[in-house]
Amino acid sequence: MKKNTFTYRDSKNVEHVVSFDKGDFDLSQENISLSDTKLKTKPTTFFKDAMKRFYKNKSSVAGGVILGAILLLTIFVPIFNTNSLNTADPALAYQTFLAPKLFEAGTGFWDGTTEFKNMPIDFDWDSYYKDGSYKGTPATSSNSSLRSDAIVGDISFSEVGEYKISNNATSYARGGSIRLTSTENKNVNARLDSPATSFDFASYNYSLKVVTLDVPKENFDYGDAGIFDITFQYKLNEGDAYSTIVLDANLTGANEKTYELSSIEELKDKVIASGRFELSLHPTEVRQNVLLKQSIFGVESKTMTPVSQTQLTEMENISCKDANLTMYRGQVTSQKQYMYTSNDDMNVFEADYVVGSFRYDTYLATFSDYLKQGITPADLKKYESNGWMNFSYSVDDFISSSLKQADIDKFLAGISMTEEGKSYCPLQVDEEHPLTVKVEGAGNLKTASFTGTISRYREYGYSKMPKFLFGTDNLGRDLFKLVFNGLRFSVILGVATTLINLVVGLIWGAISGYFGGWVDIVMERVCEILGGIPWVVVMTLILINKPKDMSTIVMVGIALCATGWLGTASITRTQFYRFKDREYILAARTLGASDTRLIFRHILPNAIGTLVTSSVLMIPSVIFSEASLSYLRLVNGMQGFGSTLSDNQSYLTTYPYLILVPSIIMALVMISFNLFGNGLRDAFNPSLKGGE
Amino acid sequence: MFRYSVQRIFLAICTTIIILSLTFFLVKLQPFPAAIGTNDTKLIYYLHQVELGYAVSYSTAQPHLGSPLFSYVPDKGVAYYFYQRPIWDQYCAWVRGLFNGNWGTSTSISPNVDAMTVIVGSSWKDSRLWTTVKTNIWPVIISVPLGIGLGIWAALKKNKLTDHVISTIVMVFISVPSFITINILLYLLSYQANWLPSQWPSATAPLGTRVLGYIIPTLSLSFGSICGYCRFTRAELTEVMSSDFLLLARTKGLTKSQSIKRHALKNAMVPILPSILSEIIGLLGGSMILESLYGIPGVGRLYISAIQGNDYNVLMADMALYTLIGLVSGVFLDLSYGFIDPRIRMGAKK
Repeated sequence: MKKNTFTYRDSKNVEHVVSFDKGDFDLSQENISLSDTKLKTKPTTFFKDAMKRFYKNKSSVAGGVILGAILLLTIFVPIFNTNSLNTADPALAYQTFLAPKLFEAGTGFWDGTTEFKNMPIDFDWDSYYKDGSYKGTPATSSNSSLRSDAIVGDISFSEVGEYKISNNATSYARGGSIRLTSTENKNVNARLDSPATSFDFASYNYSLKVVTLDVPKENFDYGDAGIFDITFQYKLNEGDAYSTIVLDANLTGANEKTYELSSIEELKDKVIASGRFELSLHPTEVRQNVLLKQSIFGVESKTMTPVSQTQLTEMENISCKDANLTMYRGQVTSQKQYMYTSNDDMNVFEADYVVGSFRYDTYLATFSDYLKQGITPADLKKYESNGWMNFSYSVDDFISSSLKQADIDKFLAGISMTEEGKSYCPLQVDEEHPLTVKVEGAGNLKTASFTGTISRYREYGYSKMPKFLFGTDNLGRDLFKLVFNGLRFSVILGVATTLINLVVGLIWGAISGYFGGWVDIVMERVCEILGGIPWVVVMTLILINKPKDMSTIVMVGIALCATGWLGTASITRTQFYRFKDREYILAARTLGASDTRLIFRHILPNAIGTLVTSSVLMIPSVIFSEASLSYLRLVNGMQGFGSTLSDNQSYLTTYPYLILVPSIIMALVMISFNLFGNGLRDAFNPSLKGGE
Repeated sequence: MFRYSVQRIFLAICTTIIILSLTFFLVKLQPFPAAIGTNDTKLIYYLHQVELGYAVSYSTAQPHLGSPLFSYVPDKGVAYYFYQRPIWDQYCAWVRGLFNGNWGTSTSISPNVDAMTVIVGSSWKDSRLWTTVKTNIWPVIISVPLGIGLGIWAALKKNKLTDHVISTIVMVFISVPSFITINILLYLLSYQANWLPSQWPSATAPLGTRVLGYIIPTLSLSFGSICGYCRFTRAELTEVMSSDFLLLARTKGLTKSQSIKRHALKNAMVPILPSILSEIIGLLGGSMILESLYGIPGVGRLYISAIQGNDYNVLMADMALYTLIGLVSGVFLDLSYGFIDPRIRMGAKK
């Protein structure tokens, strides 16, 4: 048979011969080199796969974003917020307890205002009786002084009756009675030469002098209301009912009289426990008001300084608003009526007064302008040298001039403020806020002092009205900066201890898991013992053994690391048990790989994902532990977030924002850390995810 | 099982001994707790220390022993000079004392009272331990049914809105530290609404106030454990529900509720029940933060005041209590697994 020739028979049994030669064939891919085609889809790594799973978990992504934002704030707030946290800074003392402010005052939310409830009001009774309008300003007392211009919105008034106001002079009450008590009224005791346990009226000469009873008839229709009795009520013993002596009955109009108590027969040689003067107005059913103007209760004795005549005459010119002196209104509601007292005996009982609730702009109250008297030429020169003010008539020349009106006018006209001065100079001089000069003395001894508008916030070193996002604390520190400074500290402490725990735990777990056998048993027992000690006990034992020269922070770090690595060690051990019997390890060992190589090159890379993700969750637990330590007062002097919170604990009632704001941030940090950490853990170990 | 139990208990006892000894040495490294009060009470205190074996007394000064802890030199009669004994001798004496139930005496909290008595109290009803237990019992009573119920609900409605809402709330409350919850509760319920006392009411307060005083501690402790149980139950139940035997139960013809009640729940409860039991033991420890924030005179606050007052004997006794609670509940947890589900053979070899 010829090469490349084939024969075949068809169905009719006819033989065919077919021959091929080389030319009949064509190599289809003769000059093409063949290799595997590239995959159209992208190959995925374990990490990418995990990330994909992580992104599917929306809440974890949200947690991560919030966490990222907070961490960014933690980095940048301490850098860019220039507010001082140094408590030695004098300006801080003024700006304590400012409310959190984001919006302008008056918006009602986060606007730097504090709500004041039921504050005593210096009530304008005149206009109330005239046309029923409610007017008044917060009353000034020794422990609070509120500026009426810092009140945002209206005051809602409510009347408080039968209220006992003790020891504080009240300009905001009406009615009431004074009481002299030997044991209760310290003012009286203080005026005795030797402390007396009971009050011997006989040895003193008490007098009540009603100087004027002013009834402004043009405003009020009193009818018979102007008729009154003056009585003295006293008790011989504290438990007794009051006995009444009528000193004068049916008085009307203007009277000026002195009532000598010592001349009353009934009181002669008696020691009384307490006494009070009362003014009773007639008739009982008429509800009217009488202004008791200048009714003075004086007390005199041989050994005490008498109430001087000058004091009495001065008091005749006192206005109704004067807090520490004697003016009150009597209101006719019943036979029982009240009257007033000198500034030495200010126990007022059963007085009616008005309280008001309002929102108060703490920023305006702290930082608004005020008129300062006695600004010295030296101050002006300081402002000039700072480049804040210019004087065409120099300060020195002005002082050495004759200080005539012409000089003053010339000097005042020559003052100008520089641009920088308009931002920084505490003294602001312009058309609305003029500077005035007061010249004292005569001849060569003439001195000039200035009165001008001082801008309080510029005085404290701000160029514009400050705004504290989270308010300020009891020491005037900016809470916003304080919180993020604390958080920075906590996060750094958290990361540092986590790293140490990770390294220690990794080494421990790797040795224990890899070698197994008795090494494992011994190491496991050590872990068990350490793990059996409650963490508070560990903390306590370490902290009480703190060397004197070691810083608390380092000690807390050590305490947190002491048992913190146990978790990592146990996870590492499990991972090593999981991987050490795999075939690829056997292969590596057969090839002669050393233990170190097997541990660090072959097993650890497989376990590292789990370990790192689990250590993310360690950071919030460190923050929590640090906060707990501060809360339990086991450590002092930490600068972490938790200490900020626990330091402010006592202000929960009075300034709740000091606790609530850091609490919210703390809660956010914890929630987002946990969401993020759990998401990472689930993404890296899908098998751990409960039932999915 | 019996062998394992014995082994486990033996190990726990060893651990306790090691931890307590370690604690003893670390605490004793501190300066000897000094007595406060008059010379007479001091003398009683140091004589008691001699009796306990922590100190020795001489009638004359012993300069070679260093400066005395305390010297009592009356005008007439016997003088006392007290010196600290070596730490190892003190340890031996302490161990001997423990066998007699003697934990040393308190120095600053209630001077010259036995340290264990400070915790357990002369009568159980006004002891610090009882105060802790009675504040902690309510959260357990409330949180177990509520937590498990919510967990079951979430598991049954898995991946639906109910589940997501419950899981989110659980997440939030598990993350937020207890002192924040306490503060917010105090602010809202005590200071703003003025419904509840802002401090733990004293024993002499009216009954109504005392009852109201339980609300904040109960709420603040409940949130965490409700969420813990809820998460645990949900995880266990969803795992059981996806297992094959439950599918078999359904194919056998059981309804969904029957299969869940008879098969899934019983199996899901296996790991949950032991954790409830161990929490019941754990309530002896209480929450230190709650006790110090709300002013509850329990063992937690005692611990803090013992540290602050350097009352080391009370501190030792309290630490021992905490350690013991932790270890006992751990052992209990491990052993009860085996009792509840005999299939689980704890400590079995591979």
